Amino acid sequence: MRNIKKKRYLIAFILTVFIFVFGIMVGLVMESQRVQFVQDKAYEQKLDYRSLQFQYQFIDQLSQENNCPVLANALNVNLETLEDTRIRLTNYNLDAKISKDDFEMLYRDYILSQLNYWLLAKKARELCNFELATILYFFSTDKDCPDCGEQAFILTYLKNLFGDKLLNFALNSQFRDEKSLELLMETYSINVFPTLLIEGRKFEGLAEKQTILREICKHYKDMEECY
Amino acid sequence: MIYISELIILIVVFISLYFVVFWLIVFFEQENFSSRRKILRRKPIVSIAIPVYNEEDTITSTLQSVLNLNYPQKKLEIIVVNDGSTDKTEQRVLDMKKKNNFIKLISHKNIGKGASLNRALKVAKGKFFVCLDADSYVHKDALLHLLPHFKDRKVACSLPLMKSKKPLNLLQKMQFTEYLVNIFYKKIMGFLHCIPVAPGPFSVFRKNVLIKLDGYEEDNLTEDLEMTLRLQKHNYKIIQDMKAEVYTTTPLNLKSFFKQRKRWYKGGFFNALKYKKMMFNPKYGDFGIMQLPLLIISGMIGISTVLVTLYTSLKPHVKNLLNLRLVDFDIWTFIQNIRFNFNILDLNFANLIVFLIMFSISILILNLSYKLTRENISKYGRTHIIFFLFFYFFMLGISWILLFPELFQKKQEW
Repeated sequence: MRNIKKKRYLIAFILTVFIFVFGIMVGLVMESQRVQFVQDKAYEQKLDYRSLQFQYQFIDQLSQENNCPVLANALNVNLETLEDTRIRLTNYNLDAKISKDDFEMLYRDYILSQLNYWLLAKKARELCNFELATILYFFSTDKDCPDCGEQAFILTYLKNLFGDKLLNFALNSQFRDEKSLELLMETYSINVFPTLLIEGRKFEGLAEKQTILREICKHYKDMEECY
Repeated sequence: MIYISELIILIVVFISLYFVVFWLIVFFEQENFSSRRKILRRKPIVSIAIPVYNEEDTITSTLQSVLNLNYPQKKLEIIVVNDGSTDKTEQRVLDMKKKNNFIKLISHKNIGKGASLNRALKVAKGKFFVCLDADSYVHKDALLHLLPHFKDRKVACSLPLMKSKKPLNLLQKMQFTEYLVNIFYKKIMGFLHCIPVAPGPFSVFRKNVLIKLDGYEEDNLTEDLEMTLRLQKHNYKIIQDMKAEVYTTTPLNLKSFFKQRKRWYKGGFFNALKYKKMMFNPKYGDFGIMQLPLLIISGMIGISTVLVTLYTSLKPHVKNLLNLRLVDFDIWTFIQNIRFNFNILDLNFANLIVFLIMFSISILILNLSYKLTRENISKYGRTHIIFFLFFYFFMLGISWILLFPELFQKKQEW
């Protein structure tokens, strides 16, 4: 019969648990930093939006159409930041251990920003005759949307292809508690995912590249990518 | 699935970390890590058995290293067992025998290493029996360091530092490092009498113990491991010496590397099962509780690490590649629009901290291993160290995966 020093096993276990707990604690501290980061971004975006609104009203009310390129540029920069934040927010929310509620509130805030930008983009297009198309992309992160990954891939590709001439707004249907999203989904009877709303026209299920191209190209006068 | 893979990673990391922490505690508990030099007063007869099978390229050098041993030649018995070689091995041995007529040669048809060693054991006259693989070379002072350990009557076996011969390529350099780390671990395991294997190159056994245990198992794929487990079962002590050195040849390419590892792991797996009654059995102390289960747990860790790493790292890329068909494989549009948008908060800090701690421990163990084996960490450059730290575990895991289907074959070939 050999001897076993149980204490040694116990100390090793405690130390291992300690290292893990330390890792988890640091993770939680960083999670609160992430919440703070997204909150700051949301605040920045609100300011940017108000600035854009002012630019729009300035052009509209004082007939300053020569300032349209400035508005177009600002709109694109803001939407790019908005999309980056959306991707980060989605990932942070997936990783979140204790701040899920905070991230979900921020996501609602983000959806509102998106819808505001969507409306502003449509109005700016009319005012300044911008050559651009907008797509509202309704998706679900549930398992009931096996094609959502593919749809997102096609939309990313088209965004890369058309750049600032195409504005994509990705809306997660799981946040339909946000009344503005609920309103939109009811208005357009969005029940299946993915669904695309391209300038008021609805496409249910996976919309292929050619289908989307045909639709958005109606809104461009002379785009090489449409031929 | 993402949650299952995360859970598997957590369990694997926890178990690996637990074992490493455990062995480090044992290490820091020991006051005299380096064994003190013991003087060998009387020089007993030592029988050195060299089983050979088609070793015409190496046998002469191996024999020469034995002849160079700093030990009286009249106290040395060298038994070369030619296990049915079909090349010029026998001729090479006969050439050496002409100059050194005390070399004995036994020749027979191919019967395997275990059986060959038993033939040598049967004729051996020495009090101690040493097995030396024909692709290994021994340092001249090895016996002087290994024999004094037998003053303790419970010691049945003492092991040299098994180092890899001068490495020629990246793979061999990584194995060089691995062997040094293994020596470090074996030394610590020795403190708890937990050494799981006395490898082929120059492990010294008390001959009467080998005979008492009926010699080597002849149809075993890893007869050295099986013998060690039997010694452990009978509560004999196995000592890792830190001065005696032996140099062995390691696989030069991936094919022979995986072949060798598959044989080792298969042997480890089935021998662990053979001695399953010792597993988690407190009667066998730390060996039963910790070391023997580790032979199987290490395989499970290896397989899960490789599979989960491949799954989590490749899945998004595979998906994207498959999705390219949706955009007529127009990769160029994506390439043109690549932009870097890194934020430090995007990192997974919980995993990162655990990873950094494990990495620091690995560096510590690596340094200790090099120091205790008197090697310079930059002797062969540092590139292989980086590869060893980040990719070597992956190669070991792949060896387990390659072996996995064979574990479930009804008829096991040894």
